[in-house]
Amino acid sequence: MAGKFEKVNTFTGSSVASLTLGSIFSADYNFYNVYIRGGMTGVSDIAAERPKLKVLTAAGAEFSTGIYDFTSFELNGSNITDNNANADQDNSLLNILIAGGNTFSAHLKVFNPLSTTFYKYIWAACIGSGGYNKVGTMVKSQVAAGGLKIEVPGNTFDEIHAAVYGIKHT
Amino acid sequence: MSANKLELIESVEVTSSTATVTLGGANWNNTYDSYMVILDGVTNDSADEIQMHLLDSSNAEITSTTYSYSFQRSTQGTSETTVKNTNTDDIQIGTTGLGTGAMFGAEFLLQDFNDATKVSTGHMDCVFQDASGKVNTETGGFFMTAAAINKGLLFRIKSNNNFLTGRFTIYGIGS
Repeated sequence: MAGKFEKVNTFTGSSVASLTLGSIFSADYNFYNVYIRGGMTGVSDIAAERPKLKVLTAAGAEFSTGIYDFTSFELNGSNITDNNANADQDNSLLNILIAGGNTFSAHLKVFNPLSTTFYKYIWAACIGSGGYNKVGTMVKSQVAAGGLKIEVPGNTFDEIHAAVYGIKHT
Repeated sequence: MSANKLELIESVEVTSSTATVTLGGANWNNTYDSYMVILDGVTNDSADEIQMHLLDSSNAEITSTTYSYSFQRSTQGTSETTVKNTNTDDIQIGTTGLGTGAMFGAEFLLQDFNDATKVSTGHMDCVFQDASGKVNTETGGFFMTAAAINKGLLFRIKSNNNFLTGRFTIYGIGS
């Protein structure tokens, strides 16, 4: 409905390596907020296992590799990390995690994902045991997107939850 | 006003060369404490800064040096920067480049626009492709340096350039 902030869908998983948010983007909405929370335990090098963010096509397939540009500003403990050298990647990244604390959350703002003119743009703010992370992602594709995927290949989320809300401007 | 709801006040779509876009003014609805503004798919005819101004109680664009703003900007391939200005005559929210797939997207939260005893403030989250084809993300905010009623926003491109596309939408947040 135009001018309303509506729930599109919710997703949840336990003991999974990934969570697929399929078929969330449609002509029913123009702009999306995605709220993600979850946790990982039993990962020996948790700092190396930052959740990865990917965009899916309308058919649910992953986009091509090497088309993700992202820039990340990280407040991790007493340091600021300028994690900006990320062009032509296979995915974007979300949270900072460190050993001893394994839960995280993220808030994504997805702009115009159905556009076949613009690339896909996602603003994200994340908080985890390692600190705060703000990520800007540009997926260099002019193919309409249908969904998102969060994954930690080779490891598992003990639990992960996502809620997707959409706004139709007119 | 409906309580506990997001209510559409105005949505403006740019489909051809346009110098300014106004949200509010004669269409301003003063019954909300907070407003959400979304810019989506904004492109320009020149890779230059998007300038934002507030409207005064007479719906006129404020161009005096009454704006202060700061935000953290991350740019792919470049060290992060803090962008800030005080007592300046506009709020420069970012640049849209002319490269393939380029656009500007943003979400703002506006506060205290209808209270003459308080300064109007706003939070800003932006993501866009810049003039070099790099993705940028920003988080920050602005505030006016004098308390006043404000009735909306006006967007323009620096150096009298024009918007080519985009949707500009403002919602009232019921409380």
